[in-house]
Amino acid sequence: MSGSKVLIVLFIDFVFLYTGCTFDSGLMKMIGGICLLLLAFATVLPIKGKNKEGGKRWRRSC
Amino acid sequence: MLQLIMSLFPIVCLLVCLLVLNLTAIKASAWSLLLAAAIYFFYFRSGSGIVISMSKGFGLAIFVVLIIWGAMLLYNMVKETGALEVINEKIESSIEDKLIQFLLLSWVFASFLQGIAGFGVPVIVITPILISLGFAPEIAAASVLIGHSWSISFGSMGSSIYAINMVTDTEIGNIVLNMSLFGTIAMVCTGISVCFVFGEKKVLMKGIIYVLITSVFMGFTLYIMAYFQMFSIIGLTTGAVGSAVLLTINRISKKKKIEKEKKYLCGSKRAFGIGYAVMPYVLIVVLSIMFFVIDPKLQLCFDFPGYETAEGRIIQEENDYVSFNIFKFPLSIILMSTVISGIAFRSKKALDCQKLKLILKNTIKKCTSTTMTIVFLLTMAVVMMDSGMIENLALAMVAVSGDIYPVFSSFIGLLGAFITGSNTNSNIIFGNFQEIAANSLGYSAAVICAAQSIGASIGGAIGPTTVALGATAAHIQGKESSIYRKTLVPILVSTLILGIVNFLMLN
Repeated sequence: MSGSKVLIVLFIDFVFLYTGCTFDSGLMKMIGGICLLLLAFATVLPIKGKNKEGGKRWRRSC
Repeated sequence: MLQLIMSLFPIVCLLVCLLVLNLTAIKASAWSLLLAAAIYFFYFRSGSGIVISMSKGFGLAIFVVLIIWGAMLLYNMVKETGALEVINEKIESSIEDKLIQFLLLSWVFASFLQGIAGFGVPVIVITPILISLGFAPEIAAASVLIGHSWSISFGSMGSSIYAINMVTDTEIGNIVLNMSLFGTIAMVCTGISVCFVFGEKKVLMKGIIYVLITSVFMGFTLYIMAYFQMFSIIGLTTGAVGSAVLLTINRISKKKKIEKEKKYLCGSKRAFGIGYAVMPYVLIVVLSIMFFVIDPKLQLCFDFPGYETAEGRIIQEENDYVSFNIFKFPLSIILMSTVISGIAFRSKKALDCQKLKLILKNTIKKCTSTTMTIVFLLTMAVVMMDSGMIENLALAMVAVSGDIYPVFSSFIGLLGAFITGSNTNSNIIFGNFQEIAANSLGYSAAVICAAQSIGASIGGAIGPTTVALGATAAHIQGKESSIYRKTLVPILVSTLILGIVNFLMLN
């Protein structure tokens, strides 16, 4: 994922989490939490094309 | 016991990923966050409350990340306009001794900046200057991280001191007096460590002499400021005195100054002089002091609700958990400085639209991975705090240490700073805990709390968030392990020395 896309995802994620907590909306909190965990998963999993750094490492190991 | 092992897992995971597997900080932090979240959800049975903890972590991360973005923008502007080169030429011409250059910037001037701005600003500002003076990136980053760490407790206009005052009942004046003693010891330890990082054995003895002479003056200033309870400017004044002493040493030992200065004057054909080049940094200092004195109250605060886990652990509601004082927030100050300096550089034709685009592009490129690392790390930190994992670790440390608890008290401070990346947060988490432990064991709470704060202060040098910041400033993202190899041993040895002194004082 490119830098600007990551930043947009992070921003949206925070909006979900914060508004979810402020207005006590379970759904928004869930979306925010899951989104953050997915971002962490996307970082650690070497998916080619999804994660630039991970992709490079994956190609090298092959 | 199982609870303790579970509490230890995320930290062990982080250390193994960084130091053994040599993973990048972003991957190490992502693994640790996933592990911490899984343990909190499945073992500590957080229920849906885990999401609130995660958003609290995210909120804290935004506070730090915005400062990094501002500082990186400023750095890129200073670099692209050529101001950095002018500063380097001036430093090289007026301070010819490389060791004094190194000590002055990484140990003393970084501490002066910490006294004003804090929050990683010294690392972002000084590291690139050291690199452009010819020092290796990992050496530059490691030296600044170690060098200014003693002053973190006295920095950011005294925020860590106010934090420990908030969470303890012990008289703050007494704690800070003891902090000045421990701070002086930490100052000497970090100064000598910086000389070791400098790496030339031939000049090591000379470096230690410089450090000892400067520390005498800085330690005395620290004590005087603590005695008169001038907490807000304690770090700033001590750093300024240290800078003055080292510059005086340089003046005394300098022999070929005139020739070099002539060379500088003849050799430089820049669009502007040193006055314009240092303008952004001078503005940061001036604006920080100005807003501190004016103290505008315009604030943006984030509140978070409380919750109860399935195991019955109650997490209190947090009002003003993250608060941004719009004018005193380092990002605002850095942005104001960047805009004013940008206008000045444009008037000198050193900045055009093309350069501006390049500056913005480089800032986004450099900051993205650091942003993610810090979001993951601080989210993990808050998950560990809310789940009680950190409390478990500290209690285990007290149980294991017994009579030699004072030795470990500085390590508890270090643990808090390592996890949260912040002296203030470490004091908030463990300040009250250390006071209770000291009272129950019959030790002076003021001395133990002081050791906690200074342990947390130097622990900031190895906090993954701070190291990620250092790596970003040195443009070696992904090579955080090379910084750790230089910082870990000196910081652990310094903390041990603090612990031993603490033990001797209390027995």
